[in-house]
Amino acid sequence: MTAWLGVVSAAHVRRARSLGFAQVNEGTRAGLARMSAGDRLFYYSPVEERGDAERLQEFTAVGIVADDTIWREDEGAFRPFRRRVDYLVTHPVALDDVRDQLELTSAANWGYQLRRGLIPLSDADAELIESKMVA
Amino acid sequence: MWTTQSSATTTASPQAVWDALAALHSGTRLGPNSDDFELHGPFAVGTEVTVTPQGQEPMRSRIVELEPGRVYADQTVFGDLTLTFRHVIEQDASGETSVTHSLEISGQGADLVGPELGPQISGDFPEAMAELFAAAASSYSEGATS
Repeated sequence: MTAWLGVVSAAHVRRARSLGFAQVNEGTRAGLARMSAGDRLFYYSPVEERGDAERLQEFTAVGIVADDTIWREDEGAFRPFRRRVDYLVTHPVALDDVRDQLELTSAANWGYQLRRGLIPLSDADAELIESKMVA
Repeated sequence: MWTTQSSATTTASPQAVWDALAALHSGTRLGPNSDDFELHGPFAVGTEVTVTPQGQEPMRSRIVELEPGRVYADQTVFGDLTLTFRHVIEQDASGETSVTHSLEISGQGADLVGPELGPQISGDFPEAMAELFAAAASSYSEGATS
């Protein structure tokens, strides 16, 4: 299993989930193109809404990349690239509930990697997070 | 190595800008968008500082350059990467104060990771600069000239 972690506000994750698409890095194509059909995509939401000062720090969704098609949505001034994801039925899991067990958070200053917007997730971390989200 | 920088000028004095910059890195928030800084010792080279960007994870950095009134730089190590943030304050020929805020990402993989990670970090440099200048022009200008 190849797994990815997208870093997106919770409000945007809810919209993506309700419409069954993935969007990362403010709608750019490159991140989406790194994923393949069958990969797992986890979303981590540092905040509820973009620009919030208060931290949320939850894993908010997980889904399976449905196919290899990437399309460009036309939302007027905003034209983000997207691809289809079949989201699993899950509930949010707080980072603090799994922080001590994750490889992701084991290095000093690990938070920097979240700034990349989309990063690979180890198999062990993916399995752990998913098991908590579907429990 | 990957680098980027953002420069701007202000009519506030170099000392006022420095005082605001020192206050920021000593824990005073300059505005609603400021990162939070917590200094773990004197404002001096070698001292560690915890930086918490809004809504994000805290990072632990170390002050690596400090020329009062002119240069402040700190470094954060993440894996094989070192991120160096630097402010350079200069007075230009017109008498205005020029400030350059730079980010240098070095270490193994910096050429690959830098173009992806760097802009995500430096994207708010102009906003941070605006808050620095606003603080320099208000709270810190009077003290600097008295």
